[in-house]
Amino acid sequence: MEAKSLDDLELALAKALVAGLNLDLAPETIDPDAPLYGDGLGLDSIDMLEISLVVARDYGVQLRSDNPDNQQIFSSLRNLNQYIQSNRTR
Amino acid sequence: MTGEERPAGLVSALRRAYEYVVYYGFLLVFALMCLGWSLLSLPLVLLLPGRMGRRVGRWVISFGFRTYLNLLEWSGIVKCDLAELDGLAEQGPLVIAANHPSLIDVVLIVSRLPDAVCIIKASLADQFIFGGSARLAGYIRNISGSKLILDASRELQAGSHLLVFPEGTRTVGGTLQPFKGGFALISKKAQAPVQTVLIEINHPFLSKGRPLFDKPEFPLVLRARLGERFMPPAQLRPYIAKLEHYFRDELAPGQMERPS
Repeated sequence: MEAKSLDDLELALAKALVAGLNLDLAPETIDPDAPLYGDGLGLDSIDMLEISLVVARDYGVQLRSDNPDNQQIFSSLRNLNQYIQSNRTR
Repeated sequence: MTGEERPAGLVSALRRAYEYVVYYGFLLVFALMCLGWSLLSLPLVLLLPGRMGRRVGRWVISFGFRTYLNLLEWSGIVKCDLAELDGLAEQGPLVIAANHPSLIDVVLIVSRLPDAVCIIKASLADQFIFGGSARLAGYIRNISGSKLILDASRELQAGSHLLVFPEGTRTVGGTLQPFKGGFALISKKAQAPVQTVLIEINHPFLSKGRPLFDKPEFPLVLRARLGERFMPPAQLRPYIAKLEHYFRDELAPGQMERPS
């Protein structure tokens, strides 16, 4: 199950999202490759908006709803983290 | 009894004619009031920047709406029952969440709230008739998601009331539309409670899909009552579902004519 474990930065993001959204799950149990939307974590568009607020506050990254790459960015925690790490300002 | 039918017919014909004149007259008056204040607001945006301008802009809109409703009542074709909203102005900050059967809903609620912020469609905010006044009052344009949430939270943190219609559009054919979640996220972000307001109108009036120039049945009774106040959410989706359920229960047929 090596591929399923979170690295430190992914875990930090998972913790921030679980705390911010008051999700009923332990951050370390999130599958980094599972989709955030729908079947994976079961989040919907209002959760995505809340995620964007958490990410803006904690990382200084503006996730815009009109970004054409959103599908890819939000496709998994791992991809979201990669996008944040390459754009973060804090 | 036949002798009484003719005068009764005449009276009702005169009554209908009066209603048409008054209804169209009032639409015109509303348009002129909005346009007049919108034009006056444009220089004021420059003269009174920031919080001061917003306060003046909101107060004037509230005063104008209150005056307008008083005129409507005075004409005898409309009765307003808004007394339950009267205490709200002193209780802020609050997210005021209402159902949305008619365009007049904004007028009803804002008439009782001198520091209310509305979320306005960008297409309306760009129109001459509302643009200046919406800008002076600092109304929030309904464009990008996260900016709207942050702007609205900031207004609440400054102590204002935020008026939202969780359906995101007017009620269609008397059926409450599924709630959008933005209001819950704003409440959570600003830690401001959600005060529900239930609007009931006895006849279809300025409702979605109904042409503006279709005269409604008169007399109209416009009623707003205070519903429950909900503390800010921890989790959004259960909260949104709970409020939608609450509105459905409260507005269910048979609940309308509850004794007060």
